[in-house]
Amino acid sequence: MVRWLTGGSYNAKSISRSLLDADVIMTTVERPTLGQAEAGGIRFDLLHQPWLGRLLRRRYGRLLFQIPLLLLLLLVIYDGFTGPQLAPANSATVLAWVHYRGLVIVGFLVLGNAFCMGCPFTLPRTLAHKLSLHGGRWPRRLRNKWIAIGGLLLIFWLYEWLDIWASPLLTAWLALAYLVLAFALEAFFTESPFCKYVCPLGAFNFTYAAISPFQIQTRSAQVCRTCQGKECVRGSKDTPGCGTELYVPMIQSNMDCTFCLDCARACPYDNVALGLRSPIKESAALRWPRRWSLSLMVICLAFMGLMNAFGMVPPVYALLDWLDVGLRLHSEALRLGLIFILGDFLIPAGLAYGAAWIGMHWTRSRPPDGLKDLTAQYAPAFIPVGFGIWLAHYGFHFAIGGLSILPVMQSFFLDHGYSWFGAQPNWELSTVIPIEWIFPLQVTAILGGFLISLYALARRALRPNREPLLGLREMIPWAIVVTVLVLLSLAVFNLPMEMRGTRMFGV
Amino acid sequence: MSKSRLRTINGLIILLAVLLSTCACSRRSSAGDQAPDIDLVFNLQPDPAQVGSATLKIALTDSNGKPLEGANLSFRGDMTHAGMMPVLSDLDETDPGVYQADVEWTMAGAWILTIDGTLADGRILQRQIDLEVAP
Repeated sequence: MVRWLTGGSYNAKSISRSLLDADVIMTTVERPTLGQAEAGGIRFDLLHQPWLGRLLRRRYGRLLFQIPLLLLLLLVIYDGFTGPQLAPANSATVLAWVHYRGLVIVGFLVLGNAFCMGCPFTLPRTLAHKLSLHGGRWPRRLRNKWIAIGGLLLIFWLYEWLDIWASPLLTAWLALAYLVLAFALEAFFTESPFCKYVCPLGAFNFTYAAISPFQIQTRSAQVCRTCQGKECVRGSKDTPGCGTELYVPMIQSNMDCTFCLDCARACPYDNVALGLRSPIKESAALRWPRRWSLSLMVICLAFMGLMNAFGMVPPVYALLDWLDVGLRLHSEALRLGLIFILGDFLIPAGLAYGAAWIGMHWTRSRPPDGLKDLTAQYAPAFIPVGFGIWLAHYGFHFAIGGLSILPVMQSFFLDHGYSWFGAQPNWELSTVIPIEWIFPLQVTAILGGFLISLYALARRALRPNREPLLGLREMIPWAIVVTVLVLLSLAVFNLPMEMRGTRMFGV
Repeated sequence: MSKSRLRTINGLIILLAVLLSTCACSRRSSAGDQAPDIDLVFNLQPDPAQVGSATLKIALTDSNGKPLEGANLSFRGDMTHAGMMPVLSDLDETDPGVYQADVEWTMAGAWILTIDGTLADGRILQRQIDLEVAP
């Protein structure tokens, strides 16, 4: 990365010191294509559409998305603390666990990392940044995805152990903790480490924005070659540069991109595009940085999708009973912790390690960094299947309860003495689509993700100047892991869904 | 970080804490249970509950064990997870002090049943019962 920068046509000295730090750019590949415009042009640029483009590129364009989400966040906190402590009747739990999760998934399909674009947590963070003197940089050892993986594990474990899904109060505390953490990290560090290295929601969004149809691109590579200011990353007088320190001409994926569009606003040449691209390009073709933390985050997230759904079906009770009686683990926190550590991290990491090891020995290949290289080679292929599993799960909740926010808000206003939306909440409103459609759509989502993952594995295995048989051998262990993941997911989604047994969670 | 900025940050954190404390202390318009002395016996058929149709019976008695007639009761069943349509029904008095409703358990899992209504003497009765519905 540094080698390429100094050896290429860019003047490395003109780029900020942070940019030259190899650890801060997660989207860099070995041979970046400079300027997609040169390589065939941008098919469709959202930022240069007559009305929407102008709106997005305005100095405070992001606020149009952030302010509504901030108001919703404040509603979550307020209603969570003061409203009825019944999850289906409180906007905190309905908005957080039905709508946020459902809509963030839909956002990936139609736009990209839409939630990070409108993330309300960054508003107080920006305030903190302005208030703070420039402190130290985020420690070099922590510039990876290990904290994000740990954060994901922690949040899924707390979610189940404390029944956060069933508690408006705890949901409000979680939102508040998020605000405070984002604020504190921004106040004490110069860059924006929260989004890039800490935020579990961001880790999820960065990963699955890989299947999005839009990506930040340059309109003309030549303009970037001659650019001296590098405002897209360093910022201009009025606009900050990229908070996660991505340099636009080198962006090849949506990883670490919050879609904040500060790069577009800062660029004095109006040379940044939010361009259309193939949604499977990242999964199938792009070479990602060779880092264990990044590869395992992607692989583990696919398994987390399975485990999150597994927590809602009857066999999990048998497993918990067995841990209780058989292994004498009487603490529910411990049992759930064990299940999540195993299912969310150790098993996927072990399977990835095993698949890489078998592939390497079967083909007798010796990549420079061995298992790490091979894992990085195939990890992105887990994104489509992981997305399919999450879509099946979160889509289920949204499909079955998307309209329930209407009576909840009716009730909210009635509680405050306003009958603008009717004198009685219409509690009959709930499902978005007929219930009988849901399971076929879940199967379609999982199988669709599976087929795209297989295609991605094949594209990654079958490379020019290499015997197809060797590629096939290298790919087969990974294909087996993906197939097992899909079969288990189909089995879980085929079981009668239980909306959280009290026996398991001690309600 | 300069002292003045640190003070500003501290001030903002304190302001946020005060605002949230104010929110947390405010209550909404729920009268709550005004009849803690009333005994409520809950009966469900089939028992244990299973997905499908069921009959719910509530028997109300006062502190002397005398059936309480003339109450106007409604029933609401919520799953513990957000986004699920509740089961709603009014309870009809079938015998003195006994109130009944037909309900449909739409999904297996944890339910919270809320019995809500007004007693003949005008007091509000509100009780919650946890229920596990089998597949």
